[in-house]
Amino acid sequence: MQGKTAFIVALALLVTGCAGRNTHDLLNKTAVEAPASAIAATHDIFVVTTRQKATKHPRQVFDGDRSLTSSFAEVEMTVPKVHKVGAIERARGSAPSDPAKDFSASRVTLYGDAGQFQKAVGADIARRGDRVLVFVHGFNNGFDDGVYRITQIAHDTGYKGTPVLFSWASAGKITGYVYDKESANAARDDLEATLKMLARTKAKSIDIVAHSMGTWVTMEALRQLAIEGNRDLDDKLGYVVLASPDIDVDVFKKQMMRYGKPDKPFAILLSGDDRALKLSGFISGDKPRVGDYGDAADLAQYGVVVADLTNTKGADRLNHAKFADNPMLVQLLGDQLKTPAALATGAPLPGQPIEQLGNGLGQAVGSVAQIIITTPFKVLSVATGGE
Amino acid sequence: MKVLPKTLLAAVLAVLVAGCAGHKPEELLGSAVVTASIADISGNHAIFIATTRKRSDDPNKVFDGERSPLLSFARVNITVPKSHETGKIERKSRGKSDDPSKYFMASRATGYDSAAKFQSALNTDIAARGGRVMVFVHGYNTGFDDAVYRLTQIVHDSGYPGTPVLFSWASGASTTGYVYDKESAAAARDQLEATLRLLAQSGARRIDLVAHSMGTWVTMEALRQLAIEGNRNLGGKLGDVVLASPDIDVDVFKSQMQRYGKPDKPFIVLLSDDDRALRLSSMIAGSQPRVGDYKNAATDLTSYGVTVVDMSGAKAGDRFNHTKFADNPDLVTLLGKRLRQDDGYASDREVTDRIIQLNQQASPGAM
Repeated sequence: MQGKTAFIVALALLVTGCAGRNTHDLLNKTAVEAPASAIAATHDIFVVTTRQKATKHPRQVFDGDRSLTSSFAEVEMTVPKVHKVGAIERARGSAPSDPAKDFSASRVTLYGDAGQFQKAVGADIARRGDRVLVFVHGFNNGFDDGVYRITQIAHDTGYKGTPVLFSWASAGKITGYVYDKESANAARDDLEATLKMLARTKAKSIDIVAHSMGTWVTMEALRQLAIEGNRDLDDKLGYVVLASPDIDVDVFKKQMMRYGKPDKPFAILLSGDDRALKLSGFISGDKPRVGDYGDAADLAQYGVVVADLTNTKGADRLNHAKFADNPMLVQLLGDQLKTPAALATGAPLPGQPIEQLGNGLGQAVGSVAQIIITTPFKVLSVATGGE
Repeated sequence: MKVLPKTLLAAVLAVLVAGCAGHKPEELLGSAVVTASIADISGNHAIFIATTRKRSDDPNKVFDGERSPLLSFARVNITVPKSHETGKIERKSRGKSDDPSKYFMASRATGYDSAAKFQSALNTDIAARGGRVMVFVHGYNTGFDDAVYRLTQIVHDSGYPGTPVLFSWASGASTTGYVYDKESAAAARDQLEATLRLLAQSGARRIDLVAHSMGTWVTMEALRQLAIEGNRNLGGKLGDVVLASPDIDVDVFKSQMQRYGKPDKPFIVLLSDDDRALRLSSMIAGSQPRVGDYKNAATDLTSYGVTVVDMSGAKAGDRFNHTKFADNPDLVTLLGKRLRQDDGYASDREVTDRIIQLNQQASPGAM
């Protein structure tokens, strides 16, 4: 396997675009059976996407090309018993997912139009209560990545409501930064329409969790809702959690100025050691991004609560997804999401009075990490177990 | 164009004194007083300015590439020399004297410390010029000085009779600052909208928009949010919207147009498939076409309510082919004709006919 042969193999990988783990296949070629006892849970993920239906690699379901209209789907995902909080157990390379070991898609339903989808998602919301969580993924995410991440978040936070993935057309390539940004721009109206659609269901509280470049799409959608005079989604907007926002600080301030001070402060999770954002900051002229900005008080005055996660660990070297891949943080997020936003006190990472934040978790683990929380009114340092 | 005073004080006043250091690039104001005979000056244009740039530490630059959260307002007077050739911007090169008989020169800069003062000065000028305003939004990699000179040249060469207003967003004016510029453009959207609203309240009866390159993105964003608010025509005052060499991803442009809705008067899109600057944008945006060099524009974009003018056959002033609308002498003259002729509210049909005509005149044979 030296020399010429290796070269040909490398070339083949380049040409087919399936290098290493990045096949972005969501579905298996053939079904892999697993005993029910090996499955921890099944999650129904509702999906609105501006991606093109994958025709070249149909098992991706949707790919990185843009569609001018939204598509609607539902993916049934299983989480294996062996799952560890914060991790996403995935099959390696082009190996099929084994539901006993890996997160696996067991069923994909495509809806013909927005009406059918609204009916289905509305029924699910009513069945589970009255809450819905919209997740907006970030840069360099395939369709599969977004589905896996929201499954892990729904699972690890124990969120009781209906999970809805808004999947915009990220190319899922590290070199596709500007392509992704344009895809994000093209998807703003679709996210807004999705939020409005959810507001027409029986949902009483629509929570939004956005990550990385997904925070840009989210802030844009909220901004234009504000311009229309409906910034609270008819009072149904719940928590807005912006994790590692890949937004230029100046631009974010302008967005917040246009939105106005939120009634319930948006939560911003940032980390000074975020290596992914260091890159964005660099290519945008060495200007800080919100997600690695050092001046929390400067942001807080716009009506946001800033949780500085610098002293907690990320699962990978990038430190760009701590909110979900740090086991303590994702459970903390779950704790906060538990109480509907409308019932929450004015606590910074809302849900519970700030002093109690992380108490239970902090006791569970030996090493204590600090989360520094800056609200429009005060700065607090909270000890958690999150290491 | 104003009548020039008799003994022209084409004294090029260094309004804010310059240091003795050699001229840095991006200077707008000169450092020495040079007088020129009125006979050597062919025009003196008062350019009104709304900008999201920070005031420069170097007073001769006036504004620099850093962003300000607030709008600043100013007016600059620029003289155009008799020796000026249509389509060109005669700029002083380093070490040369500030000679208005040879170069475009700023003769006066006035800052306004409030929107109200700016508006009052604008109102007077607009009333004196028949109620028309043209807003120019410059592109990527453009210093404050570049933008002022470009608008002056457009006004001069097109013979635009109304009041020229430059909207200058904080382009870092460096070719490596593409993403920085894009962020500056995003940060400037609300201020462009505010500027358009201010103009709509200024007594203008018609507001034309001419935008270039990345400036078309800021413009489309401002129009889009006006549409979301239910005021897409600026109270009926929106005139021509000319988008020259738009540096907008085709998919994003379609989504913007969808949100705006079909314009009552089609927007005019000027493009050229030999645009080298856009080839670069397109490459860094994942090899997706930009509107300004989109080959299928005529078939794919017109249904959104735009009129596409293909300038591919026309020659440009430089190798980039990115500024043909202004640096090609015939095109800038035609732009002027276009803006002057249609001074009313013509039907779509008439406008389209005229544009098709313009398009034919712009074909290679005519160049």
